[in-house]
Amino acid sequence: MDQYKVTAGEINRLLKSQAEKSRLIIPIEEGEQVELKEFRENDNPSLIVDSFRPYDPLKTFLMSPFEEVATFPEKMSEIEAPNLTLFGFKACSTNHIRLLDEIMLDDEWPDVFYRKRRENLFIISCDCVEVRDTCFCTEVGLKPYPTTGNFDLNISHLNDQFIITVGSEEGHRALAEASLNLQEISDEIRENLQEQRQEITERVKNQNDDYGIDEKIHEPVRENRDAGVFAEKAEDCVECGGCNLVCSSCYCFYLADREVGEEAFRRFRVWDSCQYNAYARLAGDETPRPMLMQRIRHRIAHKFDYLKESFDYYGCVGCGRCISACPADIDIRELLQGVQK
Amino acid sequence: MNPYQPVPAELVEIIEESPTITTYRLSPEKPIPFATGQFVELCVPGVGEAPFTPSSSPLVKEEMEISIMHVGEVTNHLKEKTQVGDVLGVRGPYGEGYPLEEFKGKDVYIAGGGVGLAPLRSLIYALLADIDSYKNVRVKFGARNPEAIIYKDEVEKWLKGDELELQLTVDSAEDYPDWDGEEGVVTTIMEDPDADIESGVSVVCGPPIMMKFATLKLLDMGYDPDQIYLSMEKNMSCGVGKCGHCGIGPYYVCKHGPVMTYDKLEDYDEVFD
Ligand SMILES: Cc1cc2nc3c(=O)[nH]c(=O)nc-3n(C[C@H](O)[C@H](O)[C@H](O)COP(=O)(O)OP(=O)(O)OC[C@H]3O[C@@H](n4cnc5c(N)ncnc54)[C@H](O)[C@@H]3O)c2cc1C
Ligand code: SF4
Ligand code: SF4
Ligand code: FES
Repeated sequence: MDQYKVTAGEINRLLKSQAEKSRLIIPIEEGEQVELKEFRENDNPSLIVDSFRPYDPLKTFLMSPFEEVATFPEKMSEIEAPNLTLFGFKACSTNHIRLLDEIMLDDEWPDVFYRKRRENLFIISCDCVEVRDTCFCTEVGLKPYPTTGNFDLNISHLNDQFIITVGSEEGHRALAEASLNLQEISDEIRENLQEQRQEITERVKNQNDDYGIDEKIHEPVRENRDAGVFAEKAEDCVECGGCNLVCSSCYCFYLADREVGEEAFRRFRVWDSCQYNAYARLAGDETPRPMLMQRIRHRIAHKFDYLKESFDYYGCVGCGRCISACPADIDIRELLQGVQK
Repeated sequence: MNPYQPVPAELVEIIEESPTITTYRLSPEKPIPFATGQFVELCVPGVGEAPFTPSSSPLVKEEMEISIMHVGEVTNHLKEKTQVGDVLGVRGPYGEGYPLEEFKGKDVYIAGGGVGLAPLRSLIYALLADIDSYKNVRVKFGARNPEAIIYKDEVEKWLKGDELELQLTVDSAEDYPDWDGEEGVVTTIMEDPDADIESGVSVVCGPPIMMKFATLKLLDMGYDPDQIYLSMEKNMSCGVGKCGHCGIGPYYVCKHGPVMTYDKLEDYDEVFD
């Protein structure tokens, strides 16, 4: 992949250029969390690059929590999906997109709403320079910098320089359109970047040492279905579904119809959570997972066993959003740790 | 094509099959051709949507019949409030149906119960349309009682004809003195000394508890798990492998099923729950 060196001023030019042709969303420190906002011209580019991963899940921009997807009997018109640039999401979010694309863009019945938004989405991701105690991407086979594609441009902040990695044709085009002053990077810079990335990776690894999560965590997850940790966490869980809703590797939804006159309705696609009792309900109030412990196990098994079997990667990227979200202080790493016992 | 958009379909006939099961004949605005065993999402405007496997012949393209047991919101609304001439919505067809090509030249052994006969009737129509391609078709049907037997006309015709071997049983005939057939759950009539098990295939469709015991019976009779085709039922919403609801292990019943061989499922719990 092509890499170039630029200055902070050039990053600002890039942002302005994107803002001219699309909506531009950037992260902003807001209390303990990092939230998102619209870009303003005098926002400081290096702060944006360095900020921690935004709390909001990226999926919000591709499939909103509550979205109209059909009308009956008259068909609704095609949706508008204005160009959108997301700046400052981290590698974990680009990894989320890998799975979302896999599910939503299958050949036979692609989700046309997702597809339209995805086509018009431009992603400028950034290497992590800050690690918080909820981060554990390294424990699920990933890195705190992009390794699986799914970005258009990625920015690495190295000392007083910025390295841009181009991830797509659109990325090249955006650089040309912003007429940035791109400089070749030397082998020395390449090495320094490698070192910095290695150092951050080690920090993430080290802080997760105590959990001792097995590289092949899918094996114990499959084998230890009776692990006591599921029942133990079920005692604390309040079934709010927050862990699912905040996770961009969770794509579940249901279709809800709202009556609008005789034999007519509007249909909405609404995010759902497998932690809710009604999620798998069949006619006659039967459900295969009546106990909360079974639903917690399902969440873990889906992410670490079933998706691994389907796509050879985990349905968890270690972003830690569910840890921040949980009102019961349930840490997914403790669930994995418990499964290994 | 928007996968969530139903096609308007006029209800052209209502056929009462039994006290709890009704067949609805629909004429969609544009044909929805399906392969036998695939399913559709049927929606009652403003009430909701539910998955059903058409019970009619896949060779008939302009219309489709859906046989429905009345068990909850959508299905009871159909029974109580819907009339001929009403416009419903249909989308699909979805999923993998019965792999007829793989059945060719083989002994096809079918066991069904209750409303599970709906997909099986469609399958039987498809088999009969090309009956010489199959070695033998054996069918074992179970119903709760004589009154609960559905498709009475077809059943009578199939019993009289010699294209397939059909055997019926009812769980209990206690209040039906006229019943002179078998009594007992369907597994009691499943042993069949003439069935070619080794190179044959078996098909099961019915309520979860029946599917479970019929599958165990077939295993006991000597069928391998990959010779047993089950029509799975799980909660569904999207029908197109996205909403997550119908998952069993790594499979989505709506996408990888609803017809699935038992070897794929046997390692997962919750299969028949
Ligand atoms: C592939 C497939 C094929 C099928 N084929 C047939 C067939 O040919 N004939 C037949 O009779 N049946 C068939 N079924 C079963 C049929 O789909 C169910 O009987 C039907 O969904 C019942 O719908 P209902 O609204 O009447 O029941 P309800 O019990 O009211 O609701 C059933 C569904 O709606 C959801 N639901 C209802 N209320 C809520 C709530 N408050 N919150 C969340 N979810 C809710 C449930 O999760 C459940 O999935 C099939 C099922 C599948 C999966
Ligand atoms: S499960 Fe939690 S840590 Fe894993 S990807 Fe989802 S939100 Fe992030
Ligand atoms: S966020 Fe926590 S309390 Fe809420 S459903 Fe998830 S695990 Fe349970
Ligand atoms: S019904 Fe939505 S994934 Fe199967």
